[in-house]
Order: sequence, then C-alpha cells, then structure tokens
Amino acid sequence: MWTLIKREIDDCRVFFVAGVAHAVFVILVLISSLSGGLNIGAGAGPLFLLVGMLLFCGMGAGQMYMDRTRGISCFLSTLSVTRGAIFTARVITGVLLILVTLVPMAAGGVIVLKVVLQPIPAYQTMFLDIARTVFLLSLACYSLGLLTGWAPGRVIPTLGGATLTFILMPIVIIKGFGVETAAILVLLTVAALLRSRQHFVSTSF
Amino acid sequence: MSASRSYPVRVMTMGVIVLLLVSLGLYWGRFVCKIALGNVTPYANRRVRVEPCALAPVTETEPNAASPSRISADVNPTRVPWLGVADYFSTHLPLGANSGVFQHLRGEETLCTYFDPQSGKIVQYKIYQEDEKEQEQGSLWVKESLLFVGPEGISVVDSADTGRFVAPLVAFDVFSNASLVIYDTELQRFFRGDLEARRITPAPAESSAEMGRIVAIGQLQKNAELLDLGWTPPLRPATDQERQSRARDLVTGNLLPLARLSRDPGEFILVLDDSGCIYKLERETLAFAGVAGYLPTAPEYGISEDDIARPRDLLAYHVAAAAFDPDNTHRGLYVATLSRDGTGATLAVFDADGEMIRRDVTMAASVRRRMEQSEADVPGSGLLDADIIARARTHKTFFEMAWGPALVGITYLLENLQPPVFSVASYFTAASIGAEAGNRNLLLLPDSFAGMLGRKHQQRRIQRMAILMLMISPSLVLAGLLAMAVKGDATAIGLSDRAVKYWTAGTLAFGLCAYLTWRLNRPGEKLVTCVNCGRGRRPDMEKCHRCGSAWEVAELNAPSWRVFDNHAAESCGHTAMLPPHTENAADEAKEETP
Repeated sequence: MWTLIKREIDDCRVFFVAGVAHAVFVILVLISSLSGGLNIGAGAGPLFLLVGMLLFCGMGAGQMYMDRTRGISCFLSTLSVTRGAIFTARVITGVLLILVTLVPMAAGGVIVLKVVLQPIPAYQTMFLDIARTVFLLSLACYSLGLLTGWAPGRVIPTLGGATLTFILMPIVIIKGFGVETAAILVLLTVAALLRSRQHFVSTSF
Repeated sequence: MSASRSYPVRVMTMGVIVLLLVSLGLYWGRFVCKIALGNVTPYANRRVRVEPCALAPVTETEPNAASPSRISADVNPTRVPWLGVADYFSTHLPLGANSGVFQHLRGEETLCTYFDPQSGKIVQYKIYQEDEKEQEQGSLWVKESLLFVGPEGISVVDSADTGRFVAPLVAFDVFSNASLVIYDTELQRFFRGDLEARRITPAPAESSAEMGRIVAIGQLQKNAELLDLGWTPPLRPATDQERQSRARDLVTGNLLPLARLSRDPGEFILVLDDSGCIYKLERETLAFAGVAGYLPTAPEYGISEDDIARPRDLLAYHVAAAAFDPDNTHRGLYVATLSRDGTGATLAVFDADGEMIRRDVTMAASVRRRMEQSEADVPGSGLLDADIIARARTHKTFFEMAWGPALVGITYLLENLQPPVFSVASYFTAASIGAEAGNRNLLLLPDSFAGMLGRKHQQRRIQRMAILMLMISPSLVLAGLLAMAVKGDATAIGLSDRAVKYWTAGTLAFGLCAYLTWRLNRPGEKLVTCVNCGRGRRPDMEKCHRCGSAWEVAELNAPSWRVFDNHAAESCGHTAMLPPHTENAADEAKEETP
C-alpha cells in the first residue's frame, strides 16, 4: 500500500505543488491584508475557496482519467495488487493533498485567532465549524472528481467535475457552516466514493 | 462485491448524488422567484401602518396637532438573513443567539460576558493586549477573568458553591452594564444579578408559573432587519421662539414632537414564550406582572388567520414596549411580525393590559379599498374584521402585480419538479418545521403549496389528501410519464421483472431524479435482433428476454433438401433448377440411349 501511495503522489506531484502554492498564496494575502498593506474585498474568500475546490476536483478527475487512458491499474492488476487497493491508495493520496493544502491555511487561521481576534469562545467555535465544513466540502469535490474522471470521452472528465463543483459549493450559502451542511457533505462524499469504487473495481480493463 | 449487491449499491449512490444536486438547482430557481416577487411587490403592499397608535399620553386630537402618532413596519425584500451563511454569522458572532456571548463592550479594555458550559457559570472577563504600557502593540491578548456568576452567588473564582446554570438566557439592562436578568430554561427560574454588588437574587418561583417554555427575555426580536419598525411621534407646529430655542428637536416642516418615546426601558421586562405570548415581569423584583400582548399571525400566500403565532413559525418579529417621558410608565406594546414565507406582515398595538387596540396587515390594493369603503360607512375600531384578515392572503397581492402570476406559476412548477414523495412528506411535516429552517430546506418544503396545505388543515388531514393530490398533480403526471418510459426501456433492455418493478416504483416516487438516475445507470449493452420475434435481445443472455427463444431456432433453419418441379423449371428455362446429375441418373441415361 505504501508503494502504491508513493506512486500516486509521484504521478500527481503537479497537484501537490499547486496545492502548496495555493496555500502559501492565501496565507500571504491574509498577512498582507491584516498588516494593512492590501485591501481584499469580501469576495476574496469565496474565490480562494472556489480555486481550492476546483484543484481537488481536478485531482480526482485527473487520477481516474490518467488511469483510464494509460491503463495503469490494468498493468498493476497483473501484479499482486487488487483494484480495490489501487483505489484506496488513490483516495488516501487525495486526502493527503487536501490536508497539505488546508492544514497550512488552518494554521494561519489559528494564528489570526490568537493574534488579531480577541479570545472569545464564539470565534473558536466558528473557526472549528468553518474548518470542518471546508474540509468536508473539499472531500466532496474530490469525490465528485473521482466519479466524473472515469467517464468515457474527454468532455465529462474535464468539465463534469468542475460543473458539479460549481453546483455543490453554494450549499454553504444555503445551509451555512452548521451540522446540517456537514451531514449533507458526508452523505454526498460517501455516495460518490462508493460509486466510484464500485465502478473502478468492476471494470475489466 | 458481488454483482447481485453491486447493482443496488450503484443505483442508490447515484440516486443520492442526483437527488442532492437536482435539489440544489431547484432551490436556486425558487430563490430567484422569491426575491423577484419581493422586488416587484409595490411599496404600499408591503407596508403596515397604524395611525394614530393610541399609546401616546398626549391626546391625538389636540387642536394644534399637525399629525398624529404613527407606527409603521416595512417588509424589506432584499434582505435574506434566513440564508444559512448569513444566519450562521449573525447568530454565532458575539451577541448572537447561538454565540453564548451576552455582553461585548469594546474599549481600552474589552469587557466580555459569556456562558461557560463546562463550569456552568456566566463568566465576565476583560481582554487587553500585552505591553500596552510601552505603547507597543502586543503580540497576544490577555484574558483576565473577573466574575463567575452562578444561580447561588457571584464570586471572583470558579467555585462549586455558586451552583451551576444549565441553559441560561441573559438580558443586560440597557443603561447598566452591571445589572442583568437571567432565566435558566432547565432550572425554570428567573434571577436578578448585580455584578457591582456581586449579588444574585432569585425571583419568586411563581414568576414563570403561567408561562410556557421561554424563548427570549428583554429584547424580543428575530431578523428585525426584515421589518423596518419605526415610531413617529405626534407633531405640532413650532412657534417662532421654539424654532430658535429648540432647533435640535425640530423635524421637517418646523414641527415639534408632542410626546417622546422613553429611552429608558420602563418598569417591566418583557418575556416571550414558545406559544407566542408576551408577559411582563417587574423589573426589580421579577414578579409576574401579567400579560403584555402576543405575536399576531401574519398573512401568508394562502393562509391568513386571526391567531397567535409561535415564534418559530415567524420569519421575523420585533416587539417594542411603549413608555414616554417623563413618567416612563408602561403604556403598551407594538409588535410587528413577518409570515414564514416572507410575503405578509402584521403590525399590532397592545394597551397596558395586554389587549390589542390597533392592527394592520399587508393586503392587496383591492382589499384595502374594500376595507376603507366599509370604514367610511362604519368607522372601524382600529381592529380589522375577520373577513378583511381572511382576504389579506398575499396571493391576491401577487396577482395584482405585472409579473406576479408568472413568478408564482414558475415557483409552482419548480416545486412540482421535486420528487412526489417529498411533496407528500412536506404536507405532513410542514407544521413541525420552523420558519427559517423551512426557507433553507432542500427536500422538505413547508412553505410550498403542499406544505401550506398541510399547515392549513391540521385537523382534517385525511380529508385533504384528495386536494393534496390535485395540488401536486403535475408532479404525479410527470412521474407517471417518466415511470412508463423507464418501464418500457427497462423491459426492452432485458432487466428482470423484479428490477423493472423496483425501477417503476422508484420513478413514481422520485420522479425526475429517479429518471436521471436510470439514464445514468442504464445498462449499456447493444441489443441484437432476435431471429424468432424480431425484437431486440441481449447478446449476453442465452434466451431472448422477450420471447424466450434460444439463439438457434430450429423451425427457421433451412432444410438440407429441396423440392424441385422439373416441368416448372423447364418451362421457365431454369435448367439450373434441374436436379444434380447422379449415378443412377447416368445409368438410366445409358440404358435409354441405344
């Protein structure tokens, strides 16, 4: 399994680099705005969130699309590796990308909490709620990318995941950052992962 | 995963994804229609006004009064505080309903009072930055606890002797940061706290005996920004001398107010319970002082009744006590409410005894003309007839507007694209879903036409099922058509009888979502023509699923023998049809030839 994960990380290193760059950029913008040198509008937050979700969705779609076009899993299946193990390694790699991107941002948020905002319990509760929602939203977008990446052709793997991400993201506007949103995102993630796994494992090529 | 289990899993997971994503799209469609309806509603149709309010101590009929007192509330259609993200921030930021922070005074030292569930105390602490003495901005905040307030005492340290609160509601006095009223919903007791004197006094146990479950104390309002509630005092013309000496008090037209609302909150504290009743408590002793009023229902699209509204069934409400300078005696309440679908509002005035003395509701222009004509004949008492209230349903307003019917029709069609099973569930669950949650729901819609029907006819649910079916008939027709299409397609594809039945039943229940799920899960095998029945059959199955025939149909195979009629063959010149030359024929030919 570790070998598979390393292979997946190696295949998707572009996404990891992009994720780290995105996290660094967001932190730099945050520091600049807090120091007063940069005035970012209210739309900056949703924009950064959108870019991140598209990145995760693209990672999922890219993993499956590359596999389908190059026959990676077909080759690996000739070794003592099951398709289920390949899929699991792929998902673990996706979760690693999400953590690599979000954890630095969360660390930046914690520093903002400690330094800029007053130590009021309400802020800490809000930070945890928002972090939980963003993480689950990232997982859901990644799962939708896995789902659409295995589709035949080029259009659906390329645009399908992005379209679904655009449709899904406003759920935060509708439902907020509470438990309801978390429940819906967990349900969607589980459904998408199960569907993707079942589709991937049952494919014979 | 075996094939027998994988297909249901595949279908269910895809069904969940399709259902959530389609519901999101339909939500935004309904949202746009709702905002558009609010924007095209004329200003006069979303304003309620009571004039005179009959609460001012100065008589409205003073000879030199230029205009009487007026209370008004305007429905603001562009604000959407019920949207999850807006509601989350407004309720979770300090001083919000779910923040647990009851006081947040910013200054050189910030004073913050919040409830700590772990210790069960209301904690007051101050916050400041390090290195303030050196005039440098500190890198970290310092939080210093000042007081721990429990039901049995106030101390500077967290002590078990002061008891524990469980779920407190707190209201600070308007002009005192040290005086507060606490009600614990689990202990069901009021407390008066004095932080300066470090004294907490429980109220008489019977203070809350007549009240239901208390939901708010002190300031009674929810989403008040949706209702611009305002009070205009009675005005009189200012004299020449007053125009000089009281220039600051003048309003437009060189008028002076005859009475001024007191900024002092008055002698009572208001309490709201879950039934919508508003009570008074003596401010100092917290003794029960009687009923102050109630939350009146507001007109909805299809419902308008003269009744008490529960706080959770209103999208917004704002209660204000009326007391006037200088004696600051409680004279009554004025209450504005907004219906759960945000289309209608009510403004009511209650006297000091809690009796309603004035009311106005939003209504269509035709209904208001009817009311004014009847009042011209028989002057009204300030309260509206039950007939007028019943006619105030907001669909009359919408059908008077240019785009109203179209927008309502689009909303109706969008609701009918929801799965029929959720429309029926909305009918049965509408009464139990709160106003704000109902506006955010994706699947169960208490404000839909079906939900409205369920809320309207609580006592005769079974009898109203026929009307419900009529209401959601477009949804049922669509589901029926899609079910027929799915059934035909599934049968042609060769699914088992049980699978066809499940798909048909699922499409009838979930409509468009089930059909989309079918299209995404439809088996992709190409059909070939069956030689027996001529219809398409699955190449991966041994027998045709339509006629049961095997691949080889013996009856249709050409025999190895042929019947040839030589006379017919010769007359036609078809010598090729002659039987092939055989040895016997050759011998016979030899015998015949000499």
